[in-house]
Amino acid sequence: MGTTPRRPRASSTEPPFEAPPSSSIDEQFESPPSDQSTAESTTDETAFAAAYEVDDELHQMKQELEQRIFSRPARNAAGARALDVGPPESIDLITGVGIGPAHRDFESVGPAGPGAPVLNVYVTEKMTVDECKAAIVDSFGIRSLAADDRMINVIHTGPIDAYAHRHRERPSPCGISVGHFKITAGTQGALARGRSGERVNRLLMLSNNHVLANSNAGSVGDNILQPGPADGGVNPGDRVAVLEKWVPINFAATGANFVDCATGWCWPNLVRKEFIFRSGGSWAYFRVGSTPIAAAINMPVGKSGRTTQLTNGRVIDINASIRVNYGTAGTANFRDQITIRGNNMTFSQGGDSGSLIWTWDSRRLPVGLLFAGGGEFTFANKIARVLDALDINLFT
Amino acid sequence: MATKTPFPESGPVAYNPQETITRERSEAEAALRHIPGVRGVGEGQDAIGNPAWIVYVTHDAVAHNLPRKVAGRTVVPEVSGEIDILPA
Repeated sequence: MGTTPRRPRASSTEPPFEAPPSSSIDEQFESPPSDQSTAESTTDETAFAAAYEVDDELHQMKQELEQRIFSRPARNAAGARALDVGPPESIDLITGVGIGPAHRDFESVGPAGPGAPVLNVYVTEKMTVDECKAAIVDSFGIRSLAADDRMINVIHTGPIDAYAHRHRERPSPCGISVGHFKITAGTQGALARGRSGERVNRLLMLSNNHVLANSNAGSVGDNILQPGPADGGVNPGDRVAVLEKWVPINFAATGANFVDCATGWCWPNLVRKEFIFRSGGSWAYFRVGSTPIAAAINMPVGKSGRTTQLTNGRVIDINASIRVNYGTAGTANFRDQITIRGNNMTFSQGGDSGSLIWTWDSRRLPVGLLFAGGGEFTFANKIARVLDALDINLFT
Repeated sequence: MATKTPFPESGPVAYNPQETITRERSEAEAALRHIPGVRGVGEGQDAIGNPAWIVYVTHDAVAHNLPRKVAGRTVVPEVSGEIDILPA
């Protein structure tokens, strides 16, 4: 994508509450300045084939099987499990296909010898090569793969499940894995825009200081990756934003913090304001309100986060003063925090830092910014403080 | 001629709001926060809905050593263990 900054719009007024659809976001905002283009990760199959001397026939077989696997009727994962009272149907046994060197199973070494590429077939149940070939014929009708001289490498993976909100997705939704290029991973909390000056024209990503600014160690312009580095995000290829503003954490023994927050300046076409969640076997999206509401005792709240995904709980404390461990960075005192306890579930775990917390009702009004946890408790900054500190409004 | 910075209005920003702390709250924090194993003090409700001090402690044993009442409110211990930030 091009990274030349766009000229700001002539008008800097706030948009109406009902913001335009995502497709027009990039027309409203200026892109971050950059001295290099944002490299989009690509898979160069041609280069792979050349490097590993994959013959055309093998490549064709892989494509044929891939097409059959991908074109199977969609199934609801939960439903499939609920009906899982007998052996799986053969069509469910084959979950993937690839090409790689035969190295684990000498049965799969073909005429080209060890190390030469063969077809990798990923299966849910342990089986022999012959059983795998039979399953391919039964499920997909591909008889060419069943020939005795056609070597395949059977790889037993079990069922392959999506790994929470840790995958790469463009545009990147809220509730998904992000992080400064030197951290592990946290959560893209929400989108926002500056309240004044040039920042009115910036589309910003809201999360924690310790997610976007590496606990005070980051610098303006540092790359923010989606997914975060712990989830395979590559710098700079997976960059969706650059570090823009943050409130430093005060680690002094007598210090008092109120917020752990930061903003990244996003490329408008690489992010989206909707929140991700898992519905049945696939991803779905929802929006939240933009007007903050103060937390209250027993208020039902929810969040969408990188690790525990969509969860809900209740506010049990609206004015907590707590001492929080930041690992090697030190320990910091926080005042005026919100505490949440999950409703018969863990409300948050490591990786959920930066999630926006909102009222668990149809309005989904912003309440807090998740940043810490202990035992069954989750701690969050009050969202009004976060917005004031960073001088932003949510863009939902 | 001055060169325009590529990231105007960016960088670290201080946030030090004025906070009003009630006398009762000060009294509760003074009485509770320095007890070994206490990691935090907050404001919630007890089992029957009355305003209470929520005290976050590292272990059950710490909970047993807390006073039952401070500044006119019940003390409700909650075992949080250590409180950590939540990156992956």
